[in-house]
Amino acid sequence: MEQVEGHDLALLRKLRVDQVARWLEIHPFEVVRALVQVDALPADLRLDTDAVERVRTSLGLETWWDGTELPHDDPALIAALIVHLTSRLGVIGDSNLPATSAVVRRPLSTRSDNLFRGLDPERQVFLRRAVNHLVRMGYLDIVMTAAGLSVTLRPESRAELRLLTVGSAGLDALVARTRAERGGGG
Amino acid sequence: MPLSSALPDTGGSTRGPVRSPPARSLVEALELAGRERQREEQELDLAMSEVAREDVQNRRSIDEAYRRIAALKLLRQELEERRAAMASAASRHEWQAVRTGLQADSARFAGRAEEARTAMKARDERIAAEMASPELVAALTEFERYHAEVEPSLASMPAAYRLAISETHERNARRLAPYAAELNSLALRLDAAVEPIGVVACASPADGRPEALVLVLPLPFAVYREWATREEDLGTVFAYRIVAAVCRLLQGIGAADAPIEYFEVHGCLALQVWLGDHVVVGDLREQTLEHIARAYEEGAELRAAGVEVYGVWLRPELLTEDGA
Repeated sequence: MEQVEGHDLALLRKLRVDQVARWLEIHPFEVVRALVQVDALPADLRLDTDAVERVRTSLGLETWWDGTELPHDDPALIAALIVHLTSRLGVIGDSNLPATSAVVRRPLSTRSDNLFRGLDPERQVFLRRAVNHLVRMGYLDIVMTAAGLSVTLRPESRAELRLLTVGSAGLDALVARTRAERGGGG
Repeated sequence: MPLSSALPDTGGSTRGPVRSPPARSLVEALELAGRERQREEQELDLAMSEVAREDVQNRRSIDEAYRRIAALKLLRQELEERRAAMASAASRHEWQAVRTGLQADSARFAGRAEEARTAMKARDERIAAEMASPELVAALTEFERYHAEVEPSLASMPAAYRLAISETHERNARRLAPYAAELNSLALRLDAAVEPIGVVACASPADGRPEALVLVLPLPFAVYREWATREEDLGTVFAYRIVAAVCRLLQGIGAADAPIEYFEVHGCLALQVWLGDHVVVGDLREQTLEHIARAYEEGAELRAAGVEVYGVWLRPELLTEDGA
């Protein structure tokens, strides 16, 4: 990057698409698509800082892990993910609130990458495997959407998932299976 | 009954009683009957041999006709095989031409992108040199300090102080604006001949309701796969423009939420849109080519680099990896 007397000229530059993508941990082509969908892609492909928020909102991007409260061991990490899932995601029949209610209902699905955003690559890989097991065990569903894969919680599984987080044999088994997959190099 | 009364009346003479033919001996009668029978048998034999001969002739004719039919069938089969082989060879040649063309375009585009990168680097160095004047360095220093230190606490400052700082900042920003505009510009005119570059598109199936739209760009797949480590270049920007064009196309045909996948075709970056869950509004081919043309019109940096982008609509089999 060019400098003038120790001053970085980057300050004068607008954001590139790949910079925004890096911040949001998504692919640049997704950034382009999101901006087209809200009719906010500049002709010169150079973005202002508000584009980051536009893309985040348009794509429903969330950061579930802020990096400061990361669990230290595998069981705690999986339990924390389950807490995120059961507290952030709604299920069909969750609420009988009238349509005019001011209470915001929880979304029924979330982008699959929301589950891992903010984690280091090693933890991301580990939790992806754990999520695959949760899908195979029937707790979660994965659906394909325009924005990519989305995760939904099966209505009957929330209570069972919460039980898993309170130090059950089920959690130990899930951790063991996920670790075994890691050990097998899969 | 007497023999005479059994004889037919000749009805001719009235001059006396009818005389019986001279009596033959039994031997003569038998000989006569025998000769008669022999003659008739000879005649029948002759007729039979004539029938047999004609039968043989007819059978030969039928065999000959069958042989000709078989030969014609074989000839037709050979001609059809030749036609199929010819079509296959033509198709293979076309497939090879597409592959070669895309790779050639990709190489030419990469060359032009490299020229643009070099020119951009030289431009940025020139701007940095121009900005090394004491006046601009001072403006830059103030500008930088404003964003790093002053702006976060600006709201808590007294109004008069805030106004003075803001005015100074505006002045610095105006002074730096021409350099910022140039630094942010992707359009850098190259002194080079115009290179036509094709973007290939097809729908699958070729006829009927489209289930998928595929576009192949003359860019390496690394533009997609290695975006995190690859420096943005003319190819990256070109890819953004085509992705944006496809997204706008999808909005126009009523498939704004159709999923897009990226993969490699003929060594180039390809994107595929699944349209099977949508009813496409309008002519997919026309609209695709129109959006590619519009992407080029918007791409000031492409025109400045002497790249002329055009869309080509092909049959889907020409974009398979193996040419099958």
